[in-house]
Amino acid sequence: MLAIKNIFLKHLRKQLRDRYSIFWNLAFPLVLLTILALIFGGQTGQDISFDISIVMPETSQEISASDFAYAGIIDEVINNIEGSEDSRWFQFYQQKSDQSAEEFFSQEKNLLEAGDRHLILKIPEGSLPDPGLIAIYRRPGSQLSNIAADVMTGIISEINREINIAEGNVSRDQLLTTTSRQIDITAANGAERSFSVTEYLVPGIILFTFLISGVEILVGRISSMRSRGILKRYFATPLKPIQYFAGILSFIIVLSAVQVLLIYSWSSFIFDISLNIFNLNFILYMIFALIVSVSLGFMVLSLVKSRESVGVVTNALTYPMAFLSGIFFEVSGLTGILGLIVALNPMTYLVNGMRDMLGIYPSPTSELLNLAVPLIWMAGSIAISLMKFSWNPGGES
Amino acid sequence: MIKQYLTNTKILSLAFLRNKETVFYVLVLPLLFMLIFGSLYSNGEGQQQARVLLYFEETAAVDRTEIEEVINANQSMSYQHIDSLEVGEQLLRDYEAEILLRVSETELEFSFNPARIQDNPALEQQSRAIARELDMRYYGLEEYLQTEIIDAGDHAGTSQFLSLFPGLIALGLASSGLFVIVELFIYYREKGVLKRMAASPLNRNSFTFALISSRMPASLLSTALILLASRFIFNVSFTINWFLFIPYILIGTVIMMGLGALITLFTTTSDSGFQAASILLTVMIFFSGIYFPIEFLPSYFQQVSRFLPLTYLARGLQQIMGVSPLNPASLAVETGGLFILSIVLIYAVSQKSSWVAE
Repeated sequence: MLAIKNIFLKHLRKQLRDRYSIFWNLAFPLVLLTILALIFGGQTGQDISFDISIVMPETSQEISASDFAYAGIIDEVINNIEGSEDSRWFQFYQQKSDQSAEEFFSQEKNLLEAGDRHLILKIPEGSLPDPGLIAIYRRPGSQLSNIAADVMTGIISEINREINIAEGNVSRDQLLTTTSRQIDITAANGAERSFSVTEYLVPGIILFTFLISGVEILVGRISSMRSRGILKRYFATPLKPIQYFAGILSFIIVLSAVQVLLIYSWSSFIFDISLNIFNLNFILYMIFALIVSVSLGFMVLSLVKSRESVGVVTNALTYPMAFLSGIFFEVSGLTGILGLIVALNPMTYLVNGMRDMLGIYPSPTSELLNLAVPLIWMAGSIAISLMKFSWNPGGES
Repeated sequence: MIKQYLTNTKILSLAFLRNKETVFYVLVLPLLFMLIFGSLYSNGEGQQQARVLLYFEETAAVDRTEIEEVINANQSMSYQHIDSLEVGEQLLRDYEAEILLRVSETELEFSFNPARIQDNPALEQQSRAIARELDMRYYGLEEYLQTEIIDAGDHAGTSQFLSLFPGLIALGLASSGLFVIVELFIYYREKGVLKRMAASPLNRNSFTFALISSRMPASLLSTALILLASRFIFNVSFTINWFLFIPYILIGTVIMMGLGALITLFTTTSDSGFQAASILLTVMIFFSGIYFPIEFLPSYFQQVSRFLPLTYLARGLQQIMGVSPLNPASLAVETGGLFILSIVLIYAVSQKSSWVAE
């Protein structure tokens, strides 16, 4: 027992002494969670405002909506938006009275290309009932510009409906209202709840830390000591391999527990979400996920002997396993080889199971698969490790 | 001296290519990310059909065939009738469909799965197109005001998907250049390599230039691999200004070396130097807009990107590869400024560093 404790403390001290390890293993998952939650979760919605330039035709200066000129109609719509609650989403820019339309357009186009505008609307001359064409200039490399173009297309579509009603082409009662919504998520306990991106990310980040612990930290430490012959010398002493294994596994378990607690606390305090991660089923499933990761790590150590190659293989394994499993974002749309990797990846099933158990998102894969696929990987990895693993440098037996 | 330089360049280039870990980071990792993110973003480009679930209430005002025709006319969508909303919602949740359309007496209601974070904007746009087309067909509405979307700078099709490839090339340059100076002035010193070099008639400047040059083939190879893979896997081709492109790849590598030199000024051991470089590389990956649009980050996080060379490198490559409009003045100022700063930093580090192990 003392030997196990000493091995455990050795790894723990190494972890605590190395500020970079502290960053990568403890701080980085929190940074990752925060960044992804901000990018995908729309947490910054209040900061978003669309900068839109309106280029009116030269003749529009004295025209009003009552003249049925498009310039007047658009002008009135903009005034209505600016006078409503929606004004916080838009910042409109219009030409000065002494500025020509072409001059203003050229100036605003430069600003659009420089990223200082999201959209330019070039309003046509002409009036009802003749058709008019609004040119919407966007910057396609900018997500906000694309969204602004979609929003404006929707607004113009609404204007068309209103014009049709005003023109007597159709009555308001006849027209169908178009609405859109996001479906509620039914949790495993049957309760319906709205979807939260941050909640969706939390189990993924937890699983990511397990993957890193099992496939990178554990593998890195053992391969480093193995290649330098330290383990061989260790086992020339009364220390048994099983004691060393128990010691380093204890370290990985403690490190993972600390990571889970940190992620939980961070998500609670920063994002104000509460997840019941302390229920027994979830804890058992987390342990299962960690064991799967550790066994994958041992499989790598069994099949790849040199320290340098181990580093490459773990990275080549970790990135696809993390990104092609839905840990960070949904990947069900992938087809071909990547789709096959998603389907065979044990992390796909583990993260589905974790989200389902926490009531965050119902698993699209069955409970049986969520257990069986990782179990097969675990059993296969253990079998390979039992046959091939060696504590000696270069994999000598 | 030239012969020394050439011999050292050859030896160091081969040594670099023999190092599996660096080859992985410079050549394989950008390709791996290209496959993953390229596939994800290309789905958002409408390459995959959106499956629309149709649920008609008994009192539905619109005829089934009318909606079917509208969807059939749009090649990026397919449809399937369902018997209940519950079934439809479950199919959405299980990722078996993308859009659920409920048609009632007074309403067209489009439902989406909120977990499809990256697909939903495109799906909502497709839904609006269905509604608009129905208005026109079913009620015979006039489209008085028509819209035409024009991409500024005549760079049609530019998107997160296309921006990804110049970003990945920039990432390859970062991986290639960032660690060199740390390796040269700290790691080699710790290992006593520099001490042995100092005892030989080797010219220091020649060795430094040789090491810098030794990363250029790797940068060019990484770039070529990404361009080839983008062409053959994603069928994407770029209008590359080759006259600017090749020098830019070399200059970009030197700029990243300059950042490595900055790290070297503040670190004392190779381990901390490599770790600091890795952290900086990770920060740059997230905040330079290569994989994720940074527009959705709070403004204070967006400001971070202004201080990251990878942001400018990726932006410059976008311009040179025809993904975004070429702005020669800003390209020259940004690249020139960073290049000069990098040369100064590399020179400062080479002068400051001792060739004797401490």
